[in-house]
Amino acid sequence: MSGGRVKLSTGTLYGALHRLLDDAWIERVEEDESPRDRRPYRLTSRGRRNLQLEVERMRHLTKLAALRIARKEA
Amino acid sequence: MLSFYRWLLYLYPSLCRREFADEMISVFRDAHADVSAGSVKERISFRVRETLGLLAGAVREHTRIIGGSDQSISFRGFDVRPEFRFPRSTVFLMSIIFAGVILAMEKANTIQVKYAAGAGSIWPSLPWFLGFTLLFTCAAAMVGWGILFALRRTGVHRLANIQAGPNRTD
Repeated sequence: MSGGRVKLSTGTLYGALHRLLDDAWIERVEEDESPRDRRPYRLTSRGRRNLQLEVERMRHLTKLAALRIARKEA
Repeated sequence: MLSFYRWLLYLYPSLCRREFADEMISVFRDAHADVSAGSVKERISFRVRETLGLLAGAVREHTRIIGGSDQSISFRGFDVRPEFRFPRSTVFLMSIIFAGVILAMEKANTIQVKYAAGAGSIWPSLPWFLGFTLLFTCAAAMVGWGILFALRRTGVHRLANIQAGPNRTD
């Protein structure tokens, strides 16, 4: 996703997953055939809403940064 | 490396380990297979990153439990659930302990004022004080662990799992 720029350790990854599960932003998909060491996750409605807010926030930030750069160059 | 990784997972709280260890080992195994074809630098970097990630993760999970942000707290298998409430007598006992601490501070202050002129430096007695504090802490920890162990042996923690519901008719 990041083109190899960000490398997460499994400890960091599962720490984040645990936090997201606790906050009910994601949930486990219960599938009968999925093995115990391969359990899929999906966004909850709450998680999707927060993701949309975060995307909006980042979009706003990049817009502000672009405006600043344009103003400096002008 | 996999056995070392499994060993490091024991640093995590038992609840967390039960929940995620299988997945973590599986993901680690895949990542290790990917990186094993890489350069020596990549392999060393991978090992360092995974080791530090696990150590930091274990500290973080323990901190979450101490901070109370986890769903349940596990002390060597004895789960204290969020709905657990201390008995009212605890408040009474804590008030007595608090009053005792205040009284001791007051007494210490009086003694300090009374014998300040004749007393020497406190530094010679510092090692004794630190040793006593260490011993006291160890004793308190052992008593606490003993209580939890005794409660676990009696099966009290299983009471939390009993569901109240209609009586069985069969």
